Order: sequence, then C-alpha cells, then structure tokens
Amino acid sequence: MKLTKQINILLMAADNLRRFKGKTIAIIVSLSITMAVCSFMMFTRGGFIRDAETARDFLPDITVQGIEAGRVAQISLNIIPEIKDIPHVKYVFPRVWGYIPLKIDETDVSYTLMGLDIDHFPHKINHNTKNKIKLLSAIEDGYFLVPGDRKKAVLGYGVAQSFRVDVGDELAIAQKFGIDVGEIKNIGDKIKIEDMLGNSGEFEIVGVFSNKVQIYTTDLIIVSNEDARNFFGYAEDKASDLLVYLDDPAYADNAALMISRLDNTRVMTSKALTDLVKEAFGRRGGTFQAMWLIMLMTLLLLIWAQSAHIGVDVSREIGILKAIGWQTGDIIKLKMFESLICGLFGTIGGILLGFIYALMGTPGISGYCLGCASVYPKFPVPVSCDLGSLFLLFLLGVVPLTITSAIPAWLAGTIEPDDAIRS
Amino acid sequence: MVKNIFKEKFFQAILIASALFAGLYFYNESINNTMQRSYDKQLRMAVVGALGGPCIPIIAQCCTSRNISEGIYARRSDIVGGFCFHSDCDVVHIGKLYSEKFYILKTKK
Repeated sequence: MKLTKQINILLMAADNLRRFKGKTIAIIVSLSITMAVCSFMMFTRGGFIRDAETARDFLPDITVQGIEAGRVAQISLNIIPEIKDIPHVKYVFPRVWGYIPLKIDETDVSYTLMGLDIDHFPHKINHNTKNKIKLLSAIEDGYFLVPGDRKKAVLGYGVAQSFRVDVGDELAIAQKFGIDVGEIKNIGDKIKIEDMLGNSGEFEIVGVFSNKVQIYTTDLIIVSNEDARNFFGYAEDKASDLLVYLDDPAYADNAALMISRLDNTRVMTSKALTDLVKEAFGRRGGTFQAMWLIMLMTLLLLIWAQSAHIGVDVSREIGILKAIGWQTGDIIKLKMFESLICGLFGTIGGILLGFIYALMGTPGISGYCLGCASVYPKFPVPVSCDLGSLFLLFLLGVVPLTITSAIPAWLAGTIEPDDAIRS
Repeated sequence: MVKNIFKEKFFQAILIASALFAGLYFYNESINNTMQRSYDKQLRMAVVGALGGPCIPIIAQCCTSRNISEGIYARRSDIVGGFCFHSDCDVVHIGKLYSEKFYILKTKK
C-alpha cells in the first residue's frame, strides 16, 4: 500500500511536469547543457590520463638529462659507462632532440626535430616483433628509418602538411580540381629545413606518421642521432638526454637515485613523466570545473527562484489536493519527485550529450587541450569514463536540484487549503 | 502498479538514454580503450616505445617565466613535445628575441 502510494505520487509528479511543459523543458535543457559541459571535460581528461598511464609501460624506465648552472643542458656521453655499472641497468641510449622555430606561410610554428639511435633501437621495440610491426603500421606513407639511414627523415602528419607532403594523395586531388596548393612533395623528395635560429639541414622524406598517432607525433621530425647532432651543432660526445632501460622496472626508483648522485644530472622516472601529463590535464580540467560550478550555481539559483514563486494555478491545485485529504508531507514529496525526475532526465541527457561530444573529438574547443605551437592536430581524442566519474556526475546533477526544491516545496505544502482555493 | 512506472514516458526516456549511454560506454571501453582490442592505441604505444616517449604536445605553461601559480616546476618544455605556447611569450616562436611582446612599427608614407 505504501509503495503504491509512492508510485502514485511519482506518476502524478510526471503528469505535473507535462502540464507545465515550458518550465520543465527550460530546467531539463539548461541542466543537460550544464551536465554535458562537466561530463565531456571529465571524460576527455580521463582519456588523456588513461592514455598516459598506458604509455608508462612503453616509456624508458629512466630519462637522464644534463644540468648546467641549474638549467637543463646537453648531457655528456662520458657518463654512460657509469650508468651502465649501476645494478639492473640493461641499456642506455642517447637521444638528440630540440625545437625548431620556423615560419611557414607567415605562420610561426615550432616543431621538434628528434634524433634516434637507429642502429640500436630501444629494446622495447627491437625485441618485440609485434611492436615492430605496429610501428611500421603507424607510418601512413613510406617506411620508418632503418639502421644505416642518414639524411633521411620521417615526418609527423602536421609537419608533412606544413611542408606540402602529399599524404594519401590529398594534395594531388586538390590540385586536380584547380586548387592552388603550392609545390607538392612526395615520399623520396628532399626537404630543406632552416629554422629561425640559423640551424639547417636537408633530409629525404622516407615516411609520414599516420593520423592515428598524431597525438604523439604531429610535430615531430624523426632523423638519426648523427643527423640531429649535425643539425643542432652538438659535439660528438653530447646528447640531449639518455634513455635508460632496466631489466626490471621495479628497481627504477633505486636506479634513479643512484644516477642522480652523478654530477650535473636530472633524472625523471617513467612515473614522473606520467604524473606530469596527469598534472597538466588535471589543471586544465580544474579550470573547466570552476567554470562549470558557476554554471551549476546559476542554474540552481534560477530553479530556486522559479520554484519559490507559487503561481495561482499551483496554489489552487495544492489547496484542492489538501482539501481532498493530501498531507503536507505528500505535497513536499510531490514537488521533490518533480525535481528528481527533472534532475535524472537532465543529468542522463547531459552525460549522453557530453559523451557523444567527447567521442566526436570535442570539436571547437580541442585546441584548448592540445596543440603544437600554432598547429592544432586533428586526431581522435581518447575518451574514458569511469564509474567514479559517473557517480559524481549523478550526485552533482540530481542531489543539489532535489535539495533546492525542498524549501519551496515545503512553502507550497504549508498553504491553507481554503486560502489557496479562494485565491 | 510498478508496471505503470515503465509506461510513463519520462521514465521510458530515462531508460532509453541510459541504455544508449551504456552501449556507447561499452563500445568505447572495448574498442577504444582496451590495449588488446584498440588498434589505434597499439599504434600509439608502439610509437611511444620506439621514440622513447615524447609527451603529449600540451600547450604548456612557459618555463621561462617564474610564475609559481602556473606550476613552472613541472618544466614541461624540457620534455620532447612539451614546449611553451604562451600567446604572450613566443619564446619558441621567435627564438632570438627575448621579449614578452614585440611590435613591428610600420611608417605610412
């Protein structure tokens, strides 16, 4: 009997919402938009953090950089034997990389030229055929550098587009239709890179990274360590950093501590690098959360103002309900059920909208999250939604709305029936 | 009586939206997020493994300013791909010009 009564009140609340269509739609739409903003931000941030966590297993266990006068500088290769003597250190690979500020079509861009020890690939790729095949699949056109390759480069998708390299015949098709796309380059052609700092080099394009890996590679130009060294003018015994691989990652902290005791070194474990990404996206998420909180507060205030004002119709309805035997508690329950339905409807609608928007790659605001200088890569944004986020979204969407409606509901419930009917 | 709840259009809409969300959620989890099934993710991780981990190119905070409120201590610009993109800073864009802002004055004749 008690349950039947509750269900009846619930159904009547749903009927009431239908009767006041305009008000209901206004609340649901604004709540949906508010929840969509919160959810896409949460899901996108979750996706990046999850990707960073997965990447942790693929990162070198320790990255060692050189320090000069307290600032990050080149590292001497002479310390490699000392690092190799540390227990559990298996491989140490030098890497030469740097930023190259360029002006392309009146746009300032900054790409990253990265040298790899092509002849001794990081063991995570070299000893794993599956990863090697996947790496080759990550190249959309051409091939990845092989041992012995010199004066050859693999370009990121964003770089390739800037240098008019025809990936997937896009430019050739555009030219066929009479669109001016400038001089088109293809795999096998040479590009001359001259940055604004005076460094220059000529490289044969051997491959272009696929759109699918743009998140990591869009601004990269991959060459051999020797070529990068020549480009940046590094001495033979210098590198930008050293990648240290251990036989067991469990010893990373111990090994990092021992490396950090070497003079003028700065040590970052794979966990530290992952935490940096988390921290960066946490901060960006925090900015959005602050904006979103203001939206939610405004919405709640509007709903409060709307609910606190009891119109003649509502007043008369409550009077009649009380006259036929409804208790004040039932009226409060009715009003709170109305808010509960609105809250559930708006929250699930908003979460759904936010999730779809995140899966679409957050068009319009993705530049806020990512970018390489003036280049905003277009790539599938990783989206992740965990149960904790969902619970939090429902908690934030439904509970404040239901509580906000409690006091106006109580005010409505305490109206005297004869006063209400006479009014 | 409980059946009446399911006949109510508001609840039907909430159930449909929940079912749709659940479908998208499981699709995303099994296709986009699982390392074993997501081809894109496998490619991304192979690249990270090969290159020794370039970080995601975040439009990061500037490493040259000493603004503590912006978390300079992360020093992201010392990691591959993590350079600065302060619109007012242009440290990387204009490598030889160490100024927060610069203006080009043109004289009209």
